[in-house]
Parts: sequence; structure tokens; C-alpha cells
Amino acid sequence: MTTLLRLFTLLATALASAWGATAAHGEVLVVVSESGGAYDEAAEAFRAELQRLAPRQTVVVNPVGNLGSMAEYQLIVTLGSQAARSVAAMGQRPPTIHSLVPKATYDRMAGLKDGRDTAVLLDQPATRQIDLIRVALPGFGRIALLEGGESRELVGQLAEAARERKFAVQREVVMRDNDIFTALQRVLSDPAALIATPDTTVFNGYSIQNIMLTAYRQRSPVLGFSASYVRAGAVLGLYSTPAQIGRQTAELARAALGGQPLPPPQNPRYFEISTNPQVARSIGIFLEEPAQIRASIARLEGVAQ
Amino acid sequence: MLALLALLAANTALGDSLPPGNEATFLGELPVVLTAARLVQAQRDAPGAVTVLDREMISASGVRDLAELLRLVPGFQVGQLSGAWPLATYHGLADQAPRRMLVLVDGRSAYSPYFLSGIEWEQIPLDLADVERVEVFRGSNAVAYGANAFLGVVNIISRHPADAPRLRFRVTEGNDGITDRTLGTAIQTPDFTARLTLSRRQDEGLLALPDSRRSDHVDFRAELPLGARNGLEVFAGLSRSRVGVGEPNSETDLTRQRRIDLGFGQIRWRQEVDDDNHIVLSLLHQEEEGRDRYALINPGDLATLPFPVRVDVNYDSAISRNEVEFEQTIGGPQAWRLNWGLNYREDRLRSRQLLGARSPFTSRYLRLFANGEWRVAPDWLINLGASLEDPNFAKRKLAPRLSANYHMTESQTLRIALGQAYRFPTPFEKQADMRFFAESPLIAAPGLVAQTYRSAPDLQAERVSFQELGYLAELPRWRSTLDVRVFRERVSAMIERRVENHTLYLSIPSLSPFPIPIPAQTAYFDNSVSPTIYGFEAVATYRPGLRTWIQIGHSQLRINASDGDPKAEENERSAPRHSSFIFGAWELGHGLQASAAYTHTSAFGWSSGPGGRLDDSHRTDLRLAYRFALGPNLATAAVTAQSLEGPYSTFRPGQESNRRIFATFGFEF
Repeated sequence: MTTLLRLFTLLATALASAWGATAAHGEVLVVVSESGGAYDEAAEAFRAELQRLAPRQTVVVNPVGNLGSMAEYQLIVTLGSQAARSVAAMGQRPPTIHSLVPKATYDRMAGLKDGRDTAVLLDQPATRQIDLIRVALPGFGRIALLEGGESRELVGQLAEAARERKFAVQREVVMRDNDIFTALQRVLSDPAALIATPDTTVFNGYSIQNIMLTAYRQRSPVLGFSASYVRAGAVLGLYSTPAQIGRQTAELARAALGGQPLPPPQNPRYFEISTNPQVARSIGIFLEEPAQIRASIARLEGVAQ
Repeated sequence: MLALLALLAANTALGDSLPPGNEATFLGELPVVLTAARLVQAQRDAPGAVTVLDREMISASGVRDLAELLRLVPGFQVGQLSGAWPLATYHGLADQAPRRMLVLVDGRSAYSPYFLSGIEWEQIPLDLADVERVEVFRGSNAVAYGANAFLGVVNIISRHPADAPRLRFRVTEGNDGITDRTLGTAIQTPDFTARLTLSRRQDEGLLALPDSRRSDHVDFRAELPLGARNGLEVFAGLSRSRVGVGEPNSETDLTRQRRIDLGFGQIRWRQEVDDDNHIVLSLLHQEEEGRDRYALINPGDLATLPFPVRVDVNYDSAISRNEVEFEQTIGGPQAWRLNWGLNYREDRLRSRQLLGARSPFTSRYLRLFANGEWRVAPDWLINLGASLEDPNFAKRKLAPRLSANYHMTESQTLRIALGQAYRFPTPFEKQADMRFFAESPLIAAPGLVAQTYRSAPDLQAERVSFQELGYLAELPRWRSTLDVRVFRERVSAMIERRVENHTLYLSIPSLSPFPIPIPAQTAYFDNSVSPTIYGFEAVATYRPGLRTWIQIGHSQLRINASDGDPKAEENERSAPRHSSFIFGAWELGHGLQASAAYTHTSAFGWSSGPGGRLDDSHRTDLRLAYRFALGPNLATAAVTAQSLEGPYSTFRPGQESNRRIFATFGFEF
């Protein structure tokens, strides 16, 4: 069975290479970090949206393991960090949109050039996060932030956006895993909305337990950046689905194919809100429906969703 | 144990299913931390009146024993039989071993099958700082909590190991020999989290009683995530108490030391099959051993004998408990939810003194429970459930329960609840055979000189039928809540202690050809009377901050004995007709917090026991705490004064709890 599977993979790869090599000028190459799951979802949404915007545009989707020459493509789209890194490492290549990547990954990538590379990041803009707290948790005047080695800039932006919107900010630096316990006690000494950041030195699969439990006990809602966060116990989640990222990437690709220069890296334009009403109620918070909250934020941002 | 856990967890690292690359942070799975079982149920949706005491309240109360906390819950009466024997019950009808209320610690029943039963507060190994919260369900709820959730339930939830400091210690010193020590540690790795706490509580007990106590506890809890939706919880505890018992001037209850050792281990496996299907399987094993032996020489009526006779008293006991429970919750909180399960418990009690030839006695208890929760409309929530209890020592019973919560407005809820619950006879109530024999070289065979308790073979479960009306106002804007409960609880076929007089004959051929008559009193239990409890309780809370609040509670209740109740007066006075409390804490800034608790209890007397009538009493406790940072560590220094009014009696007039003042210093690394 395994041998058969290997043979099949080999064949599929060979076929894909052959096809890649004969690609016609003007095609868009989508490089996915791996097949399945979020990458397929984003690739599918990208293809559908681009097809809608530019019905004649052809799109080729290749896995990251199969990168031939890229010169003949008009535009490259990478989905995921692994694809982004592999493509960025290639010298001669057409303009590239790195999509479905965290800002931390993109900022550290080598081989990027302004004007040739841009990104659709997974990270939500700081202002949107603060607006969400303002809209969904009107009673909360405090925002708690934990700053780790990878999130100094982001936490700075969040703090600034929060202060601009008249929030009191509780901020602590976490340099080691062991500091989280004390840092949490301090930032949540009074109930505050704790914003989780994608800094894995602070927020990771196992510190999450400590963070959720302490926040819960201190009657402090957590704002997470994924649907998993909400399932884990965050009161609010703000994130973009792979399909939404795919859609935004297609819009950007359309503009680029139309001859416009690539803009600087973008935060997600389309986003989802999800809520955990059980946890919210249990700490005495009543939430509006996610759709209502999302509409309020979209209004604040002046964007139609 | 830790090594075993590490081994178990070795192959269960989280995030196996995460996509590669850093976007896994955004797109990957996380363990469900705040599972429904860990949440405090929103009071507006609770099927009854619930009082929650959280960690801030527990520490501000200054109490050293869990039972004392219940003074701050309306409808409870709290006392002290002796230094290591706190008493707490809800709505009276309790003797020196209150047993119409249930206490659970992380799902483990602290209800003892030994002697008169009741709650073994002193043997709960949990340190107070490891208590996450205490949820008090005021009312019957056999459907949700099981056996003995008769008049009320105290549900103690311990602190999750991921939420415990890496290392902490606490020292308490005060008058009356108060010497408490705690040392706790916690470890957190990607594979498991665990905490271990060693603690000692020591003091001299009540004034005028040789009831000093020293209790050492070990408490362990670990969590092993087995993937994002699967996890194992391990609980274990050891408790060793050395307590002074007996009365200074008693002929039969000599002053002596009693030793009680308890150990348990519990494993709980949780699986979130999907968002709307959760299952929990738990296994428990517990062992308890008591050592308490002494000998009497010519006690009571034997004092007139011209030669010495010896009566051995041997209260040694051994109890082992095995319990298994399966529970499943299907559906979500938005529309409907079904919670059902099975529980099987086996208690084996060995005590020759208490049960005579019936020792060892094994009680088996099987329970099937189901509860449906329907949100019939956004503002209506209905709970309907039943518990079928089938013990091997009494007839099986079905206890139904119905409640409806109507959210009149976003902030106001009306609740109506009615149903029934049962309390099955304890092994001792049913199987007691407590005989004492005199031995002497002059008596051919040991002669029976007393039988203090006899069995009651026909004893059956007692029943409570209850109706309640609740009103709850939650005003988040004003940071206030008001909780009112009006209730009527009719206990029927109540198990009550009776005493019969008879004569025993001791045969001493060398002294007299005729047996010597000894007047004897033998107690037994029967189901005969049906008292009714009715009244109301109200608690108003204003809590502008986590460490600042004021709470006022009041309870007013009457117990009406049924016709022909030989202990009518005793039962009617077994609960204070009114009791009130004020509990407040103020954050003063600079890490200082002051707190005070005042309770007033009108006259009452614990029933069916040697307790007498207690006068109207007042008690005020004060605490001043200072929290400060020492580098990255947190320290707390506190001074607590209990019972500022001076010594007062809480069980028997004349046996007073002293005014106590103690200082605590705690440090968290």
C-alpha cells in the first residue's frame, strides 16, 4: 500500500513538474506549504475570487516541494510560511504575494525586495483589536498586555491604540516561561481585557492553561486571535479564515496583474468574530451576537464586509 | 508519581495535528481549558440558589478551616464539637454529626460512612489556598450531586495546577497554639502540569477541652492533556490527624488521643468528543483508618462493685471506598442539553465496636441520573431531571427535580423549583450494634454491661419534598447582585435517634447467685417524624472590585415538628430562627486590604445530641493584609482576629471557642 502511495506521489509530482515547465506566460503560480486543510481552503478561495475578478486568468497550484523555474509566471502567490520561505530564497522570480503568513515570519524572511514582494498577513491590526474590545465589552476600561521577545513592536502598537481610545493599559514583560504566572497576577490584579498575541514565547499550547485559568478567575475576558482560542476559553476571537485571506490575496493579485505596483504588506481586510457566551456569562459579561459586533467594527473602519 | 506522569505524558504532546510553519499559531488547535465543568454556572441559569465563594473571598475571610466559611452563606449554621470537629449544616435538624448536607471536593464525597457519618472536614487534605472556589447549592439536588445532597450541597473545587505558583510557603502563628505551615510546589511542562502541597494545621482547640489537634496533609493534582480534546486529571491526597477527644470529667468518654489516617487516589478522564458531546469517566479509591482505644475501670453503675472490672472500648475502624462514575453531556447551552450518567460506590466499613458481628459491613450504592436542560425560549430555561438510587441496604428510590428560570429582563430572573430527594440510612444508623463488655477474673465470661446503640433493620430512606421560589437581580452596571430564596422543605420519615430503657443482667457467681441488674439505655434510629422547614434567605452583594465588596445576608426560618414528635421542641429549635452576616473587604491601596466578617445567630440548639441550647451570639472577625512584590515574587503578610467579642459557645454551652489572633506570612515564587 505504502509503495503504491509513493509511486502515485512520484507520478503526480512528475506530472505537475511537466505541466509547470510548460506554463504559458501570464499565469499565476500558487505555491502551497502543504496540501489540505487551511492551505487548500485559501487556495480554493483565491482561485474562485480571481476567476470572478478576471475570468480568463489561469491559476496553477503547486506544492512547495515542486518548484521549477518561475520566470515564466506573471505573479507568484505563496500560501503559508514554508512556501513563502522557499520562494523567497529563489533569486530570479516575478512579483510575489506571500499570503497566509504571520507578520513575525514575514519580517524575518530573507530575500525580500520592496516592490517585488508583499504579504497578506494573518495578524489583525492593533486598532481593530482595541475597537473590538470597545464595541463588545463596553464596561471594560482596562487592557492587559503581556510582552514577549517576539512581540515588543506589536504590544507597543496595541498599547498606543488602546491609550488613544482612552483605555488604561496594564503591560508586563515576560522574558521566561516562569515569569508568566507573576506577570499575569500583575496585569490582571483588576479585571482587564487580556489580548493574546501570536508571540509563542508567551502564548503557546501550554501557557494557555495558566493564562485562561488566571484570566477567568480574575474575571478578565481574553481576546484570542483564532477560533481555537475561543474554544479554549477566550471570550472573544478575532481572526481571518483562510478563505478570507485567499479572497483578499486574489484582490491584490488582480490589481498587480492589472499593472499596479505591489503595496506594502497588508493586514487582513476581512475578518471573523467569534464569542464564547458560556465563559462570558460565567464572568458576568453579556455579549452581542458576533455578526452584530462585526458589523459595528466594520462601520468603525468604514469598510463594507 | 511524577515520573509515572511524565512517562504517561511522553507521547501525548499537544499540537500533533498542527500544520508546519508559524501559521500554526493562528490555525492550530488549542486544548479546551475552560470546559463547561470548570465554569461557574451563571447564577441566572442555575437550577437553584447558588452562593459562590471565590479565592479572594476565602482569603479575605481569614478562616483556617473550610467549614468556617459557611458562616458567610445564608441558612447555614456552623459550630465546633471539638478542636478537630467542625460542624456545619443547612437548615438545622443536625446533631453532633450533621449528615443532611453533602460536601464534595473535586467530585469526591467527604461524607463519611463511619459512625454517625457526616462530613469529615478535618480529613479534607486540601489547603485553603488551593481552593479555587466553593459553590454552595442551597437546597436539595440529588440529580446533580448524588447521594446525601439532601438539604444542601457544598461543592469545593480545587485550584488547577497550571494556575499555581512554582513554589510557595505560608506560615501562620497565633494564640491557642495556632501553628500552621504550608509548602506548595507546581510544575508545568508541555506534557503535564501538577501541583503538590504539604500542609499542617495545629491548635489547642476549644477552651476547657483537651481537644488539641495536629493534622498533616498532602494534596496532589495533575493534569495530562492527551491531545486537544482529551485529558486526564489525577487527584491524590493523604491526611493524618492526631486529635484530642473525650471530656475532662466524663466517666466513660475519657480524654485521649485519636488518630485518623486517610488516603485517596482519583483519576478522571475527560473527552470532548465534539463541541456538544463531552464524556467523563472517573475512578476513586480511598482508605481510612482510625485508632482510638481505651479501657474503663468500673464505669457508671459498675462503680458499686467491690472488685475491679475492666471495660474495653475499641473505636478502631477501617473504611475503604471504591467508586466509579461515567457522565455524558450532549448538546449545547443555547438550545437543549442532556446530562446523564451512572455512579457506583462501594464502602466497606470495619468496626467491631460499632457494628458488632455485622462488621465488616459493605454498602453498595448504584445511581443512574439524567437531567435535561431546555432553553424553550430565549428567556425561559427548564431543567427536568431524576436520579434513581439503588442501595443494597434500603429500598431503591427515584428522586425527581424540576426547575424553571424565567429571565424577566436581562438582569432579573425568577426561578421556581420543586422536587424530592432522599437520604439513605448510614451503615451505623441501620446496622449499629454497639455493646460493651465487662471483664474480670471474677467473671467467667465477658458480661454485657451496656449496649448504647442497636440496629434498626427496617430503617428506610428519609425523604425531603421541596418547593422554592427564587429571585435574582444581577446589575453589572452597579456591580451588584441580589439573591432571594423562599422555600418550604418537608422532611418525611425522618431518621431520628430514639432511646429505650431496659435492664441488663450481669452474672457474677462469686458475688451473688442472682444476676446483678444494670439499668441500660439503648439508642436506635427510626423513621417516624416529619418536620417542615420554611423560610427565606436573601443576600445582597456590592462588589466594585475583585478585592473590594460588601455582602449582607439574612436568613429567617421556622421548623414545624409534626404531630406526635417526641422531640418536637428539640427539632424546632435545631436551627436559628434568624441569622445574618455582613462580609466586606476593602482594597486600601499600596497592596493593603482590610476585611471584616460579622455574624449574628439567634438562639438554637443542635438537636438529638448532648448539645444544649445556645444563646443568641455575635461574632466579628477582622483581617488586615499587605501584599507586596519581592523582586518577581509575591508576598503576603496578614493579621487576623477572630471572635473579637470574646469566647463563645457553638455546640455545647460552656465549651467555648476562644478569641483568636494570628499572623500569616506567605510567599510565592
